[in-house]
Parts: sequence; C-alpha cells; structure tokens
Amino acid sequence: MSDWWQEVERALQERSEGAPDPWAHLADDPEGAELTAEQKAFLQQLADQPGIGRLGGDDD
Amino acid sequence: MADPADVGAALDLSDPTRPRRVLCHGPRGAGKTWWLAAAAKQAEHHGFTVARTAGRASDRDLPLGALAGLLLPFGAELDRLGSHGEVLRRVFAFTADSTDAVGVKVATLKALSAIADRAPLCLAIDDIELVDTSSREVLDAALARTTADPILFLATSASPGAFPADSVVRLDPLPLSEIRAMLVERGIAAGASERCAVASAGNPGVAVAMADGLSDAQRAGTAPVPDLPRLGGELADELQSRLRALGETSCRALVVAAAADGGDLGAIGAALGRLGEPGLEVLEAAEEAGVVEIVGTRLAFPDPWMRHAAYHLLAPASRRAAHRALAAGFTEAHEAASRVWHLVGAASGPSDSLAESLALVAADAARRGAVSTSAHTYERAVEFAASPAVRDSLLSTALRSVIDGGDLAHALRLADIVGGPIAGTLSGLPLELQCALADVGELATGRTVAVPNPTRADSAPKEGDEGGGPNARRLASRRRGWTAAAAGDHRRAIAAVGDPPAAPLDLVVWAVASRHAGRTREAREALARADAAARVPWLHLGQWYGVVDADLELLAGRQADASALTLPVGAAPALRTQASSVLARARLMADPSLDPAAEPTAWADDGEGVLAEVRGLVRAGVAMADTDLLEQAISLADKARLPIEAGEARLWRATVEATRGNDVSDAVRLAHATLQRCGVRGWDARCAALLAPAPSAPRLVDPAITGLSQSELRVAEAVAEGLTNREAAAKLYLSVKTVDFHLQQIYRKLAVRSRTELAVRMTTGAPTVGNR
Repeated sequence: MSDWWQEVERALQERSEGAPDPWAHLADDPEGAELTAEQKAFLQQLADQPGIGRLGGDDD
Repeated sequence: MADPADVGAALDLSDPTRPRRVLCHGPRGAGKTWWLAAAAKQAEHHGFTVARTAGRASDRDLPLGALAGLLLPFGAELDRLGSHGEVLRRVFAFTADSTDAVGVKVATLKALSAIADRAPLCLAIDDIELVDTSSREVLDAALARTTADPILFLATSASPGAFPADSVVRLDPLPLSEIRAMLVERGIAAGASERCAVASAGNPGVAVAMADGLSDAQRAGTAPVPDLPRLGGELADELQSRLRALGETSCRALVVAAAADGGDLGAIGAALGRLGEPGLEVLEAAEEAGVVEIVGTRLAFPDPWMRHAAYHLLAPASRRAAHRALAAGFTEAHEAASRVWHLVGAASGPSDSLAESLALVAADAARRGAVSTSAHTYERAVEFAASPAVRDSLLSTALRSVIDGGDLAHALRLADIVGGPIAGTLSGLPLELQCALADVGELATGRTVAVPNPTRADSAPKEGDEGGGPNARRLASRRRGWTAAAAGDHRRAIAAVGDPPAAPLDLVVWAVASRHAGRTREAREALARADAAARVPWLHLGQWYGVVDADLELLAGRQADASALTLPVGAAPALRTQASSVLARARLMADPSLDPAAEPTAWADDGEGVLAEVRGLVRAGVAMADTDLLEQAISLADKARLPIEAGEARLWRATVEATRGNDVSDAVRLAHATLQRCGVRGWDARCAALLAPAPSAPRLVDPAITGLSQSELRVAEAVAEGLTNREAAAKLYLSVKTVDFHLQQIYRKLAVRSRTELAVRMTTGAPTVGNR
C-alpha cells in the first residue's frame, strides 16, 4: 500500500512509452537548445553578485 | 486510528492542558491532506478562523514564504500592528534590506496574538517538511510564546519530527470497514461504499474522490457501480481515459499545459503555436470537465494526479518537444532559469552546455541563500555533464558551494558520484576536486584525508601563500582552524575560519575558539546559529556540535542538559575523550563536595598544544594535591589567554589549599570573578561551598520553586523584580496572555496570593534561572 503512488507513476511512465508521438520530429531540434548569450551573461552577473544572508540568529 | 476527531481535545479552549500543536504524519498516500482538511473544517465549526498554507518543494528556499501565506490574508490586522506589521509586510514583499530574525519573530508573535484576540485561530499547514526553514523557526518561536492564546496549530508531514508538537497523530491506511462507514455516513449506498473503499486501498481522500465521481443513481444504490479502478495501472488507465475522452487535440494541449510548471497561459499558447497546434481554445473542454482551472492568465490542475496523467499522455520524445517549445518562449535575460529548466526537460542525454547553464542557475540560487535548491541544481548539472573534465570541474564547484551553504549531507551525496571521499579514489582527479572531497570527508568523519601535492594544499601555511584554487585554500584554512582550536590557540583558529565565519559549518570551530577565549555567550550564540551542524548528528561535525553544546551548557550552569550527552559507537576517540571530560565536569559541578581527584577524566585531553598542557598540569596537580603544578597551570593559562582554564585552575588550587585549613576566600573570589567574566556559572555552587564556613547550612532551596518550569521561573523572577505583566511579556518575548497564564500557575504552585507575596517568596531561596 505504501508505494501505491509510485505504482501509479510507474504505470503512467510505462503507458507513455507506447503513447502517440506527434511531435517526435521536433524533439531534437537544435534551434533554441541553449541559453542566449544575453541570458548567460545575465546569470553570470547574478552569480557574481555578493550573497544575500539567510535568516540568521535565534537570540530569543 | 487517525481520525480528525482526535483534534477534538485541542479545540477545547477551556482546558489549559489541551494540545496546541497537533502533527499528523504518515506515508505518502495515507490521507494526510484529507485529515488536515477535515480537522480544519472541524475547527471552523468550533468558531476558529482557519489560515491555511502548504509546503511546496519549489518554495522551500523562499525565506518566510509559508509565513506570508498564513498571515497576508489578515491584512487589516497587520496594518493595525503598526511597526510590527510593517516589518512583516517588508519581509513578505522581499523589500527588506536585511532580515532581523528577532524582529520577525516578535512581529509574528504580535500578529498571531492580535488575530487570535478577535477569534480563535487555527493554523493549518500541509506538508510542513517542505515549508521553508525560516517560517518554521519563526512559527516555532511564536507558538512557544502564545501558550495561553486561543491558537491551534495543525500540520501534516511524512515524518513525526518535522515540527515540535504536543500531540502527534500517526496516520496509517484506514481499515476498509472505517472507510466504508465514512462513505455511508456521507450518504453513499453500502454497496457503492464497499467498492470505493476497496479501490482506495486505505486512503480516505481517494475513496471520497472516487465516490464523488459516481452518478447520483450509483451513489443512491439504484444503479450498478462498475468495477472501480484499483490503484496502480488501472488507476493510471482510468485517469488517462477520462482525459482521452476530451479528444486528441485537447490531450496534446494538456501535455503542454502539464509541462508548463508556472501555468502561464501566454507561454502555453505560444508553445502550442510552435508545435503547430491550435490555440488555447482547445483547453475549454478540459476546463468544462474540471480537469483544469483557468483563473486570469493562469492555468492550474486542481488534481495533481490529473496533471501527472496529462503529462504522460504522449510519448517521451513528444514531451521533450513540448518542453523545447516552452523553452523557446523564454528569451528574455531574466527568464534564463525558466529556459534552462525546460531545456532540461527537453534533453535526451548529457550535454556540457546544459550542465554549465544549470551550474549558473545553481550559483544564482546559492547567492540568494537558497541552499537546498542550489545543491539540487548542482546535482542535476553534474548528472548532465558529458565530459569528465566538465563533470570534475562542476563537481568541484558544486561541492564548494554546497559546503559553503552548510549542507554537509548533500555534499556527501555529491561526493558519492566519484566514489566518495573516503574510498581512496582521489588520485587521478584534479587537485581542486580532491581538496573539496577531502574537505567533505574530514568534516564527515574527522579523519584526515590524504591529498597529494602537499605544497599546494596540505601544508599551505599562510593566507596568500597557498597554491591551488579556492577549494585548496578552503581545506587548508579549515584544517588550520580545527588544529588551532583543539590546541587552545583561539586567535589563530578564529583568524583561520573568519570572524565571524562566512560558512555555517565553521560556526562550530568558531564556537570552540570563542569558548577558549572566555567568550561563552558569543560561543553559545554561534552554536545556536550552527543549525547546519546540528542537522547532521550522525556525522563527525554534528557530534562535535553535540559535545561543544554540552560543554557550553555546563559552563552556563545547566548541568542537566550536559548530562544528556551521548555519542554513537563510531565516534572519534578524541571526541570521546572530550565527551568524558564534559561528563566528569558535570558530576563535579552537580556535587560541590565531590573530591576532584576522583574525577581525573575532567581534564582529559589527548590533543596537542597549550590547552592539553594546561589540562595535564591541572590533572596532575589535583591528583597529587600539588599546588605548584596548579600554579604552573594558572601561569600558563594566563599567558596563553585561556581565562576559563585559568579560573578553574585557581578554583582547584583553592580547593587543595582549603583541605590544608588555609584561608582561601580571596583566591576563590578571584577564581569566581574570572569565571563570571567569562559567563561561567557552573562552578558557582563549588565557589560558594569553599567560601562558606564548614558548619553553615547550605542555601535553602524552596522545593515549591524548584517545581516551577523554566518558563514559569522566568515569569516569576520578572514579576518579583516589580515588572507589570505587560512589561514582563515585553522583556521575555511572550504574549501578555501567556504571562497571565504562567502567573496563575505560579500562584497555584507556590500557594501565594499576591505579587508581593511572590516577591518575598522568590527572595528566600529561589534557584536562579539557568542554574537549577
């Protein structure tokens, strides 16, 4: 009983293997498969920013 | 039996002993959400205002997100709170420059108290283990201080320890008979109830959902009920057959909708266009059937099962195409993270480019303090790496980030990707990765992990003179910090790990160093923030945390807490020695008449350096009653600026002198003053015993006062000082109602009738808080 959820997920996964596949020809289209240069630069500059502190001390 | 009726006692506000925090736990699918909904409904019937929220994995790193979900609906109350309301509004809007933890806790306390003052309040949180840590901390603190307010806290979780609770309800799958009876009570005919109960496999929520799906005639028992889907494959078929009945075009649109995590209709429509599908109008049938809900520009699946079922309606390649079409819509710079995640869904295999993009997203999450998200994203990045060089580089960065974030358990999982830091598989890996793995291994086991090329990592002696990259420097400085702290060289230890340390895992060694420097209050504060170490009690660092915590509690005079110190079988020998020392000192503190020579392990220290030297001299001096050795220990401790060791050595020297009949009052006062300056109260009783003439009676301790709880004692002392209830509440961060409540208990326990009587009683033999 405890893994019934996983059983449903597994069953859905198995059924999808034989399911209709209307867009198979589009799945590996190389166009747009990466971040744009602007997006890479954006993430890079975010990562270079100083960090934000977490909710800290518990001094009560 | 996990019946929401179990919350009945908690709803009885007239009972001061009622449970106020009820946690329901059980395996996934046991019906916890159903239990919470039923319990909250019951609270509503009793006149409670119910505030609901649910933990979500995706929001786990959003500080105070769950608290915002609970409190923002009470906008008017927040406005009336003035500055406290503003504090909450600022942090909920993420516009605060910094987050003042105490300020948020006090403001939350005020808000809960004010809301509950209007009508009893029920806080209902589903999946609390997925709620952000900050919200849980704030709620824990606020609830602990509103014990007398009409507030009921209900939560569900997969594990029983997810949140402190007065009452824990274990939810197991219900027996069929109970589910059947429950459905019959809802007016479902006996035969149909039996069918639904069997098909639900013990989950009441599933059973109710199945019964809801029956026709009126089937519910009334006048039409036959077909075989209901059993769980697993049949339920999957049942869910998907309902979707397929909507038509192929709708099904294809539903796959895109299920893949679009945020439910943005614009993004879904654009993706459908890229896939050559008709527009959003094809989703109308799904909306009419109740499969999806469309509110404004958002689409949602009310039933998460249906979302799973929809996502799997097409073959894997078409699902990837759906993600790719969605990714193509996120072209703006600030949409980079959404694009990356859809590219992950679209990927059919490893890709260095994708791995590197994921690493950028992970780095941003780390920068925002989203430690858990960052760790998981790095993990995905490492999984996607196609070439060993990229994988090693990412793993090296990921480990550094995860360790810096304080998630040692996750760092160990990452380390396992290359066989673990202890498996002797470091050779052949880049130096930076070796250093990161060694760092994880040493924090986890306490054993030094050999890293080749010592000139670049192992023996890097000074800042700025260290070879290698950041991981090598980190490993070297952490090693320096631990070695120096163990030796009692607190200045070098603090210099090595930073003051204060940037990495949460370094708070333990910083606390050790501060303790040696005589700054026990700062050490305790640092340890209170070292939750990263407290979360891994099965690892070496977590065990160290336990020993240091016990030591500091002992020095503060809380012997009972220190006595609870236990170590697992596999703990490092040095740690065992330290733990034995703490326990022996606890015995000496608990009994001022106990001869210190009977507890030689109190100064056991098998380390190296001046600290071990001082303790060795004390041990020998006490054992042989040799005041010269103790004098040497004092001199050495003073010279090395180890004030606690110096104060304690003075105390032992005075103890030896006293046995010879000498007047030791000045020496004891000096020792006591030294220790008090360091915040050490644990030796107070021993100092008092040495100062008191032998025949004098010990200080009278009022047994009734000893019977007060810590909270009651704090309230009693505050009131005895002359504070009003409101002033005491402000001083102790409690609600006024809670102070009133405690005061009633105190009056009853001490059999006093007025504040004056209480003040008199407290000055004639009360133990001091923190020194009981």
